[in-house]
Amino acid sequence: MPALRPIDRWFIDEVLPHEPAFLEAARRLERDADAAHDLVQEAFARLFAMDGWASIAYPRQYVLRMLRNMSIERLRRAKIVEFQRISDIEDFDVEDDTPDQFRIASGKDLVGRVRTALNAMPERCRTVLIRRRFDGQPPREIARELGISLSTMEKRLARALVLLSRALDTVEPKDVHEGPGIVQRDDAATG
Amino acid sequence: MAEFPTPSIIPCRTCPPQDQQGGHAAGRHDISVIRPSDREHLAEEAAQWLARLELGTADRDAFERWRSRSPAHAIAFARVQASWEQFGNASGAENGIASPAPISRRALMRAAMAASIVGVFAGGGILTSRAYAWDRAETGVGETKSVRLPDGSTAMLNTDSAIAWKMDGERRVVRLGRGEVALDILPGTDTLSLESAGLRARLSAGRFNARLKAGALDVMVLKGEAHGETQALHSAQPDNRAGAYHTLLLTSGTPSVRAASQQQMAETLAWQNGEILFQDEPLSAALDEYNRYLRNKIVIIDSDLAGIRVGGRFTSTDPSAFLDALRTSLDIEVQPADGNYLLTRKK
Repeated sequence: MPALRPIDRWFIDEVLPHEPAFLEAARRLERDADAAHDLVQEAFARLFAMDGWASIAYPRQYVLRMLRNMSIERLRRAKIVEFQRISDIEDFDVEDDTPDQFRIASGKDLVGRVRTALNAMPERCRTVLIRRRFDGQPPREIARELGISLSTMEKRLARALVLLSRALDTVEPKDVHEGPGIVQRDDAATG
Repeated sequence: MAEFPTPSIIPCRTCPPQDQQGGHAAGRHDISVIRPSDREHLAEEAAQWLARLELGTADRDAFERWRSRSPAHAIAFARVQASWEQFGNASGAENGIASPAPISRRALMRAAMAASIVGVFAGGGILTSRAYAWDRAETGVGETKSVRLPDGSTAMLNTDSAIAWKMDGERRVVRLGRGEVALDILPGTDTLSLESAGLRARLSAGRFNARLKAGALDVMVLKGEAHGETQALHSAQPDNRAGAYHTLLLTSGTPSVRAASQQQMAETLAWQNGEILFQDEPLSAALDEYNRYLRNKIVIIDSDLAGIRVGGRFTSTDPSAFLDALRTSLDIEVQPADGNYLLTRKK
């Protein structure tokens, strides 16, 4: 198991699962998909740079509030301010501080994505991934049985991981069930 | 198939955006923001690091340097790690899969359960005795071992530890006989019951670290919830539930719940990685910890050494770097004797 620091463990368990909701919120704040991605990425970067992350009681609400505040910061720095956007952001409603429920993309969806990703990846990458992750086979044994070097196996496993991550990361905000706390704009889904 | 770039420094300062889509694009970028193409590049590097770590070919120092270059690097690594974990969870208990097709059915069932059950606690029912044998796993001094349980959950045993488990679809029981175990629990129809020395905790889906020490069961929650049960059945204690980043301490008396310190969490994650972490601890406490992993024990002879504060990250099964550090930076004499290491003050 690779080296995870407490903050990495926390980020993976408590923050990353809510990314679809963050992206959706960011789209309503920023209105274009690239800017929304940047906003979320920057919020994550700030989390990694701060002390006291462990005391954040409701990471989901915390990040949503961060997004809103950062969006206002950005607006203030911009040379040309669109008035419509100011009122949009003022309308943006962070969910109230009810405890997080597990509103992550459904497991069914996850399995479908994993399966699609597995089917789509080259056989040689899939083989290494499955032997290592499912079977827990020791690396040297895999290398010997496949007749490849460890460095070749490294490349194949890395490639498999890239393809897998890409398949699992492609988040469609529409797939996420939002709670009643968020005000839906009419054009939110088209962003 | 694209070849992988060797890890290199990614420029985190953005160049001017190449294709501007709207009038408000100028000035919206911050230094910490990286372009999508860089993000993709970082994702590939992160995947390569994870592959190396998984295959045991990684240079740990080089990895740490890479990860600490910027938050974007740390995020990229966390993302690929999360995918790796999700992938494992989607596959569940399925073993020896030769093609992707057979994964889906059982995983789908598990996913359906996951959707409805997470975080729900059922009351502690009377244990029904059923004729299932207990399965066991144990480790000797200096060993660690990872075991996949029948429900797809995993248990990782630390040095000198023993667990037994019994699972019949609905009821899941894990017994900690001695030592320490990290549990990564998948959702089931009910909580998982963790038992040890007459103590019991009910664990939701999540990630836990349980250690049996001097008759007390210490459960750290990294994700999910632990619910302590006392000897008296169904006693309604208000403070016996520990959520994420808390520890639940069960003794023969009243259970207690405390916030876990970052130090405790870091130490817990360190052992799963074959490392031992000291953060400003008295030498005597550090040695108690280190000796858990060593057949040849380190022993303090001059008792005034016991209170010296020590810190650092070491390989748990090989104390040579640790002993070197004692020798060179603390003026402590290390003498091998009868297979042990004796510590005295340098004259």
